[in-house]
This record gives sequence, structure tokens and C-alpha cells, in this order.
Amino acid sequence: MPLDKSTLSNIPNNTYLILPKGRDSEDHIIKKRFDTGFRIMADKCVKIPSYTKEGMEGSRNFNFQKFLTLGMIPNFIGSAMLITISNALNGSFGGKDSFFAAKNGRKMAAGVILYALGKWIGNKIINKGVEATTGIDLDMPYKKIIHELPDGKDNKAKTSIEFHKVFESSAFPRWDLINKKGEENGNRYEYYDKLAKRMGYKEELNAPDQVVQPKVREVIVKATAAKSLSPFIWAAVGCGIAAQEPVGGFMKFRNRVTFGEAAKALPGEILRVGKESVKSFAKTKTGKVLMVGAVLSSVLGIANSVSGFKADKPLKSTIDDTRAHQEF
Amino acid sequence: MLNNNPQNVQTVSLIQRLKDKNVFEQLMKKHEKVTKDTPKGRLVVENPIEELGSSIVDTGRDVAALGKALTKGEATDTQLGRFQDLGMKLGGAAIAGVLAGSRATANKKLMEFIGAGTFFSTMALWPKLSIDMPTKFLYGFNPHQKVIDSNGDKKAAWLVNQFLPINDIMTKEDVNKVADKMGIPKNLEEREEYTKEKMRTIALQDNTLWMLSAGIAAPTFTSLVCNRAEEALRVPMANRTLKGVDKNIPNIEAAAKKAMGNAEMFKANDSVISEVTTSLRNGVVPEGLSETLAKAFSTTSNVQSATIRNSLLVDNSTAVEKFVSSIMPSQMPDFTALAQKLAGSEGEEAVKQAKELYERAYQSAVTGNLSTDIDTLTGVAKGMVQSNKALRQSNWAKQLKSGKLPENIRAVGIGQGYDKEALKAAADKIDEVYGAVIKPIQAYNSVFEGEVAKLNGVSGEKYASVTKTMLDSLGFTGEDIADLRNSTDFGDDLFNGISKKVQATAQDDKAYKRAMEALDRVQQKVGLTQSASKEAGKSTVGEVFDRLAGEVSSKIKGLKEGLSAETRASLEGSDLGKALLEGYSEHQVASSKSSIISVESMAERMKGMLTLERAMQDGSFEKKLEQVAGETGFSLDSDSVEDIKNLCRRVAWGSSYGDAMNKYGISGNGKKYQTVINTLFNCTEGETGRWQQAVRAISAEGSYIPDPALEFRVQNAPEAYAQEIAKTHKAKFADFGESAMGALKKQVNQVYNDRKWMKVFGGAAAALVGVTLISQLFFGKVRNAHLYKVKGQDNFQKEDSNGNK
Repeated sequence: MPLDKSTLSNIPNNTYLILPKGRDSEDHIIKKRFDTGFRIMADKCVKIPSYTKEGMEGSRNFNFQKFLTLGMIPNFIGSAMLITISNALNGSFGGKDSFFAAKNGRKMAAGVILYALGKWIGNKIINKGVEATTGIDLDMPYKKIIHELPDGKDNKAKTSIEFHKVFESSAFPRWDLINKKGEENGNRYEYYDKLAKRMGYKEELNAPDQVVQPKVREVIVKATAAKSLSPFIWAAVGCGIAAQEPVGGFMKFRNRVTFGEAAKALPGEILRVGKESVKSFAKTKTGKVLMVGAVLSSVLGIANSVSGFKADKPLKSTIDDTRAHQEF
Repeated sequence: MLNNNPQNVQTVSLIQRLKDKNVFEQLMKKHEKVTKDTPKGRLVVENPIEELGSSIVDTGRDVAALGKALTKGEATDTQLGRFQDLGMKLGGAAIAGVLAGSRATANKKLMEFIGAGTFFSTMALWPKLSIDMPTKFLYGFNPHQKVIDSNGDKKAAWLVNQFLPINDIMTKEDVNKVADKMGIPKNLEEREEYTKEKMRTIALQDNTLWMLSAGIAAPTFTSLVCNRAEEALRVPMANRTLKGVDKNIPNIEAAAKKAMGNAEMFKANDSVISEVTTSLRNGVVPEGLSETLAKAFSTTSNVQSATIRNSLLVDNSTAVEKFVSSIMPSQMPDFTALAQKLAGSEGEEAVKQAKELYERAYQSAVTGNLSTDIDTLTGVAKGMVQSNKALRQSNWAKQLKSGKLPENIRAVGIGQGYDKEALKAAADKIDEVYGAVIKPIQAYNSVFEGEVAKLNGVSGEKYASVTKTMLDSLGFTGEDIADLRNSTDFGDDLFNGISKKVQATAQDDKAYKRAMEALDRVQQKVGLTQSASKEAGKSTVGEVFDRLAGEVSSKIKGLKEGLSAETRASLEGSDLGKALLEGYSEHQVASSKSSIISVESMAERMKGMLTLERAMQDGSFEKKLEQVAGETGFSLDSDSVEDIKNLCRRVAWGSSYGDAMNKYGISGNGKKYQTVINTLFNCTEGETGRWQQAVRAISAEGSYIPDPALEFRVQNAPEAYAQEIAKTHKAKFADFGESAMGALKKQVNQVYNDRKWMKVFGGAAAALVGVTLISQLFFGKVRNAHLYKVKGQDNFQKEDSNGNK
């Protein structure tokens, strides 16, 4: 039905979405605790099956975040697959063949795990380093409330929840959420004031957002770029450690009498093998180069990310009238 | 007051509504005026070669963009995403580099890079081949169609399900073409919209399928590909390494000099030597001088090598002891202070007695070629006290009773009495020998072992490729292999199974010829035999080894030039001195070489198996046997000829080089063989030497088993050497020097395991491909199909709506 816009009364009633009131009806920054990252990860993992279903049905509510979440599947399955390929049949090879295959299998398994661990450490170091020097928490999480579209004939629209990072996009950081959080605390510019202070402005600025926002963008880009290099060097260190001889001799879990005994011996064994492997890797030339390189990449990555952050000279800013108002 | 009055509320509401109306009207007016921008984006249409080219260009652009991002902090979100892929590839290369460093052979090193490359290629190719192509075939469009969006970023068109730049870029004609392919009715209202929705649905389903399958596909296909690639690259890579080692021989001296500069390698020895010489220069003879020096002077390798553990220059502590006694001052030391301390409380006479005692002990130690340190002297002195009644009764001599002096007295004895100048000279000699001879030899040894390890790797790779063909040439089928592998009595079943195969092959003229030719071809291919390699202008592993050992040997011989005549004289008679005169001894070289050349003779031994079997069938073997028996004085019992044949088979097929010399040759080596030997060859006890000769006659000098290593040993081995082999043969032959039977056994195992692995993971890969392809047949049900109408009808494709039929 073509819309007759000549009279006001023709505007259809109840065309506005009625939302439940309360905090959870709109996006908001959540408080970070020590286990927040883990819980967000767990939330994603739990949702993988339903996202898979949506994707396989071709749902129109399947957004990019869901695609990225499904992107974790190849990592999980691929890792499991690499471990399986090099371990599953080792027992049936017989004798010496089994022995050597198992040795290599253990190295492969350790390689997969230490690759992931290395990447995680590499990322964490830069994030923590940037936060310590600038006060910008690149991992700052927010809860996104999504009112989905009805999809299919009998499908009802539903509301779903996703966890994102405020600074996950350099083009569109969620300034609105930062502003909102500030408003809740009685100062819309709370966050910018804080960062401006870290930048070296001694007095409160008139428009701190205009000063801070471009700097934050720069930090996001530089840190993300650094994070696309440094963690992989850490991952290479992990793989190098996993390729050392002591790893091949890691204890056979099933050889212990009881599960309890095996579980008890495990931490000690991990510590022993880990120590010996790191030592043995550090003795090789590549090992030295990579270990130093990994640390250096983190340090340089952080230094580069925060290099433009400090204010040139602590001035009181003025409002830039030529710039359009930029709020979302 | 306007508040709370219903009338007023209505007024406010009215004002609000008027305001809303105003806004709404303004909005609609603007909507009419503002037109949509023409999209600047475009489709990227490329053939596979252009695609490859632009992927390289794009990677270059990514690198440039990364540089800009790092320096200026400017990048789009899409670029930031692409940096991750770039980092992953660089990280992959770094990891391959790290892992290659820990691999022994060039082939295995290369495989790390091939592995990483294959992994990334599989990741890129899998969606293209298993998803894009079938979808293009079934539905007429590429779900990973690249577009350049209005922002200038290149991305997959349907990557972001809720933001599809392609909808604005595709022309009506393009969309309708796809619609025709999909068979969408021409009279559908909003046909293009429906087609786009269908494309979106399929692309999303494809993307989901991609994520589900990629994790299985990439590792599985990488392993499968690498498994094949490693096999194919074995021989070429081994030849390349061999060539490299050969080419590097003239640079051995430079390499050894470089190794000498390796402070880490000599750190421990350097500090030991400097401690010893400092102590000597201070006039104190260190305790256990010989033992300490023997350790630091050891010319066994500092570098651990998994396959070579034979030291090429064995220099034991006795030799060093001789050296030490020759450099230490020979004049009588002055024992006055020691005697004072020992017997001073009992008067001048006692001191004189004690001094005399130690002087005599010293003389006796020197004549007896013993060490002259204080503890040895005390030991000798104790013996003298016991044989002398007068001394036995004196009080001071009782202190010697235990053979060791009290600590405070002993301290005086250490370093007492030597001429300080002479000790300094000794220290100089130690420095000289260590610097001019020992250190260089240690360096040469480490370089030599490094190169030998490479040659071992070459042998190993070639070996693997030969035995595979050997199994094939004997006509083993997959079933045979599985039967043998799963049999409970592997050894006997294998022997019988191979017996049957070899007999069958030897009987059939055609099969025999085919097998021999196959083995010939293998030799040609890997360049194992001398004639073949000469034709190809290459050297065999053994030839390269000879040249290498010769070069290192001559360099070691040359080291003596760096010593003064006096020092050279003091080394005379020791193993070290011998090494300096002769370089590596012949049998030291041979023991290192055996593991390398055993591979060269492997194919020959296989041929020997067939030749022997054929000779047994045409009767020439029996003639030879009679002749040998005649020569060695055996009477052949005709009943047991079959047994002898079988035993000969066992010896020829099943024994390693060491076995032929020891297991069957040494008396007292188990009653079974002794009985068999004595029965077969009518030996009396203790006459097994004849058996040895017989085995040699048949397996070495005869034409059945031409075996250069065995021949070498038969010609050069004295009994003592045979025994030395017996000591270490297990270690020596563990990997390469095994018998033809052992090699086949290993191969049966290897082939079986390969097949098993291939069956499981090849099966998994095939299943994955099947599921991926078939599931695409069911894609493309538009969930909101009920919203579309065919002209003149109420509805379109009822069964399509919400997936309900």
C-alpha cells in the first residue's frame, strides 16, 4: 500500500518498536572483571551451534559478528585435526614405529597448543602495554542488544545479545557508549578527561573528545597492526619450544596406574618438560633470535602504538567550529 | 500552570504531534530531493592466473598499508583484518624456518616449508574447488565473488551478510542471468530482488559450510599432499645434499677454523687447560693430572650425532698418561719438606729415612711407568715399608699404613720437590699440544661428523626409496603385506612369505627379468652403483665419503707441522702421535663408512637374493657348494642339501654384515648354530673357522651376494676386528646396515602403516568432499519466499516459505 503522506492521521499507528525499559534494552559497556574475557569466549562457544544453524538456513539475521564467531570453528577443528592426524594411529604402528610416531605426535600436539598460547600472550602483552601507558583498554567489552528481524513465515522477531569490544573498529569506535557511561557518572567527558590527563594536558580541556578521539583511533590502528605481527613471532617461539626433544618424552598419561595419580603427576611433568624444552630451544641460534625477537616485537609494538599519544605541548584546547558534530 | 491539567496535556501532545508532522514532512521532502549516489564499487572479474597475480599485488599492497598503519596510524578496518592474514603467513614461514632447523636431512627441512606452503594453499584452494565451483555450476554465480566497494576495499561480495555492496553493483542483466540458471519463473514480481535474496541465502550457506569444513580440510589435505611430496622429493633432495657435501670438501679447513672460533664448544676444555697450566706455573702439580688432561684432550666428538658414535680418533687416558710422564720433569724431586713434616718429630735420622723412602718410591714409579703424584708414591712407599722390618717398626712409617697420607702432610707433598722451571716448561707443552693439535682435531672431528651425518641422511633417504621398489619388484600385494603385518609369528611368516615370492620370481624367467630390471632401474635412479653414477656424472655416497675422510685425514696429518720437534718427540708412541702421523686409520674410516655404504649394497643384496635362488634352481649352486666343501674338507651329506640351502638363504638374506662374521662364525655362539654348522659341514668342535671360510666363499667371494663392505672386512679383518664389530654391531646396524630381510620387514611395516594412515585420513578427506558437495544440492531455500508473488497468483513456491513443504 503506497503511503499517503499528505495527512498526519495516515501515519500508521504502532509502527514504532516498543522496547522493554531498563538497562538491558540498549547497548552498554560492561564492567570488566578478571574472568570477563573467559566468559565472553565461553558465551561465543556456546552460541556456535545456533549460529551454525542460522547460517545453514541462510537467515537474514546472520551478522558479521556471527560469521567471525563461526570463524573460530576452523581453529578448533583444525587444531584437533592436526593433533588427531599425528596421534590417532600411532598405537597401531607397532614397536619402534609407534615409539617414534608417538614422539612426533606429542611434539605436534604441543606445537598446536603452544602456537595458540604464543598468539594469546603476544596479543595480551600489547594490549596490556598500551593500557598501562595510555589508559586505553583495547579489550573494553560492551554488551550489544540486537533486535532481530522476523525471518521466515512463522518466525517471530527476537532479541539477542552479543559481546563486542568498544574499540574493535578503528573507523567507528563506540564513542556513544563511552559518552553514555560518562553521563551515568555525571560527566559525559569523563573518559576523555581521563585520557587527556594521560596525554599530558594539565588542565581540563574544553572539548577533550575532539583531542582524544583521533589519538585513540591512531593507537587502535597502530596497536592492531602490531598485533598482526608480534603474536605470530610469539607463536613461532611456542612451536620452536614444542619441537624440542624433551617434549617427545612427555609422560604417557595412560601408563599411570590410576587417573588420580596421573592427574597429580601432570603439573610437575608439564613444568619439567616446559623448563627443559625452553632451555634446549634457547641453546639454538634460531631459538635465541626468535625469543629476543618476540620480546623486542612486543616492546617495539607497544612503543610504536603509543608514540603519538602524548600531547605535543600541554595546551588548553578550543572547540574546533569547522568540524561537524560527530556523535553516533 | 500547564501541569497535570488534562486539557494542557492534550495541548502539549498536540504541539508534539505538530512538531512530529513537521519533521516527517521535512524528511519526506528531503527524500524526494536527494538521490542515491552512483556506487563507485565494481566487480572484480579475473581468470585464475590474473587472480594469482593480483593476490601477489594485493599482498604487496598489504605490506605497504601495514607500513603506513605502523608509522602513521592510518588504515581501514578491512585493511586491519587483512594484516592478520599477512601476519599468519609470515608467522607460518617463521615456524617452518624454526622447525626446519631441527630436522636432520635436507628433504625434511624442505618439507617444513612445503608443509607450510601447502597448508596456506589448501586453505585458499579448498573453498574455491569444493564450494565456489560447485555453486557456480549449480546456481550460476561465484559465492566468493570479489568486489571493490565504494570505499576502495577489495572484499568478498557476500562476506558480510547484512551489508552487500554487490546488490548495487550487479546489473539487471547479470542478476537475470543468474535467475535463469536458477530456474526462477520469468513472471515473478520483483524477480531480481528474489534472485538477490536467493544468492544471499546460498552465499551465506556456503560461507557457513566453508567454516565447518575448512578445519578438517586444511590439515587433512596438507598431510595427504605432503605425504606424497616427501616421497617424490626424497631422491632429488638427497642427491642435492650429496653434491653439496662433495662440493664443500675443499672448504673443510675453513669450516674447522670457524669451528675453532666457536667459544661455546671449547669453553669447558679451555677452562680445564687453563686451570691445569696456571697451577703448574705456580709450582703445584694438580691432582689427577692425567685423568683431567685425558678428558680435555679427548678427540671424540663434542657434537652429538645420532648415527655416528664411533670416535674416529680414540685416545685413551693411558696415552695421555704417557704424554704427561714424558713432559713432566725427570729429575729427582726434592722430598725434604715432606719428610720433615712426616718424620720431623722423630729426629734427623727418621727424616733422612723418610726422604730416602720417597726417593726410592719415585724411582720405582718411574721405572714402572706409574704416575708420580703423591698418592701413587705413598702407595708404593707403603709396599716398601711392609717389606722392610726396620721401617715397619718406626712410628712415622705407621702413618703410611692406610696407603694414604694424613691430609695436612699430603698437602705438603703435592707439588713438592718439582723444579719450578721444569713445571713451567710442562705447562707450555700442554698449551702447545692443546692449541696446535688437540683443538684443531676436535674442530675437524666436529666438522667431519656434521658432514658424515649429512651423508647418513642421504643414505637414509635413498634407502627408503630403494626398499619400496624392492618390495614392489618381488610382487608383494597389499593383501600380502597386511597378512604379514598381522601375523603373530612375524619373523617366520615373513621369511616363508619372502621365500615363496623369491622362489616364484626366480622360477619364472619373465618375472625374474622384470624384477632384476626394476632393481637396476632403482640403482640408476638413485645413483647407487658406481657404473650408473659415473654415467650420470655423479658420485656415490661412498665415493664422497672417501674423499671427505681423505681430506680431513690429510689435514690432521698436517697438524704436526705446528709442533716443535721436542714436543713431537714426546707424543711419539701414543695414539695421538699416531693419528698425527697417519691421520684417520683405515679401519676407523671403515667403521664410519659401513653404515653409509650399506645402502649402496642393499639393492645388490636384493639382486643377490634372486641370483642365489636362481642358482639353486639351475644346479650351479650345488656345484659351487661341492667345490667349497671339497676345498674346506667337508663331506656333503646329500640328505641335508635342502637344509644347507635354507641356511644359506638365511645367511644371505637374513644376516647383517656383522652376523656373517660373528653369529655364524664365532665358536661358542649358541649350541644351535654350532650343531647346524658341525652337522652341515661335518666340522669337529673348534673347527668353525672353516664355516667362516665357507660363508665367506658363498656370500662374499661368490657371485650371489656381492657385498663391498663384507669383502672389505674379509680382506682386512683380523680376528680382533671381528670381535670389535661384535661389540657394537647392534648400534651400528640398527638403522641402515641391516639385512635384506630386515629391510623388507621394516618396509612391510612401513607400507602397511602408510596404507593404514592413508585409508583412515584419505577416507576422511573423501567423505568430507562428498558431504561438502552433496550438501550444496540442498542450498538456496529462501526463508521469506512467501513474500514474493508470481503475477496473477496469490503466492509463490509455498513449499519454499520457511523451509516447510
